[in-house]
Amino acid sequence: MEEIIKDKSLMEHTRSVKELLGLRVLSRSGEKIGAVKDVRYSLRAMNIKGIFTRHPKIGNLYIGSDYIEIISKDSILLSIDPAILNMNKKVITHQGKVLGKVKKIERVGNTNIISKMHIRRFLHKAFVIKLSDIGNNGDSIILKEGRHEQK
Amino acid sequence: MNKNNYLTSDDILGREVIDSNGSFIGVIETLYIDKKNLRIAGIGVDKGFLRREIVIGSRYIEKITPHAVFLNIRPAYKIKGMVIYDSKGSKVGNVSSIEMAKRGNKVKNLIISKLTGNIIISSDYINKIEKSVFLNICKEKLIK
Repeated sequence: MEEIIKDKSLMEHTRSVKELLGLRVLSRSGEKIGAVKDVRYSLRAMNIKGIFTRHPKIGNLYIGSDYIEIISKDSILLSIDPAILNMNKKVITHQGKVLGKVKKIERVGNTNIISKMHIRRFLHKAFVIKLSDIGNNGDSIILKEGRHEQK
Repeated sequence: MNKNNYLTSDDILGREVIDSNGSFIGVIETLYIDKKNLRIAGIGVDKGFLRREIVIGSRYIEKITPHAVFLNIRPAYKIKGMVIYDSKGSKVGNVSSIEMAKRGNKVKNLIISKLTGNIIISSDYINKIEKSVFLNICKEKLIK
């Protein structure tokens, strides 16, 4: 192959966009989000701006390149756990009482920062929790002591 | 004896158990009491239909609340079946079995069963365990 480039180093550490399609996308904690469906690049800066993927439950997801940590041979590793993955997680009080499940997530703009989550339980009134109410966010969301314990 | 300072077996049995990751493990089925000092040595947790009981030592109990018992660990058996990725995010395989250290909840080795033979991964190569297991080494070096 003939190369027509001024600076040889511009070819280093590059990959074909075609190779990115189909790579598995993993969240920071190792949850498989989906596979790369499309790649968006900037016409001005000529670099990748983000990827499109599809989560089986959530649907299509666009992830900005700011949140991409590593692009390897067969995976793209994110530096975040997308906030949207909190959907349908159980919410429990510090005392262990199940309050319901996350049904809606409000973020700060389009960033991954959660501002509020709407919690709903069958035959109960929906309510809102703030990020400051959360003590531990793992397989379920455990609230801090004294938060929503009267519910 | 002030009854308010004590819990009865009725208070504990049947209570849900939640690990340090917020995952429901099961419900308390048995209380193990030390014959010598009569202290509670641990709890037996029923993980559900057709699943073996797991015994958790009392030192792994963080708190007992009116609704649940919280653990300060994530039981190692939860790792079984998880996907293992190397330091670059390449899939190495799935955890088929776990070798535990002699005492406690510490993992000694993770084993991946493959048709070509088992891959034994020492805990020294584990970077983090969350939804999957991430290694601190790349696949090529590991298999060598």
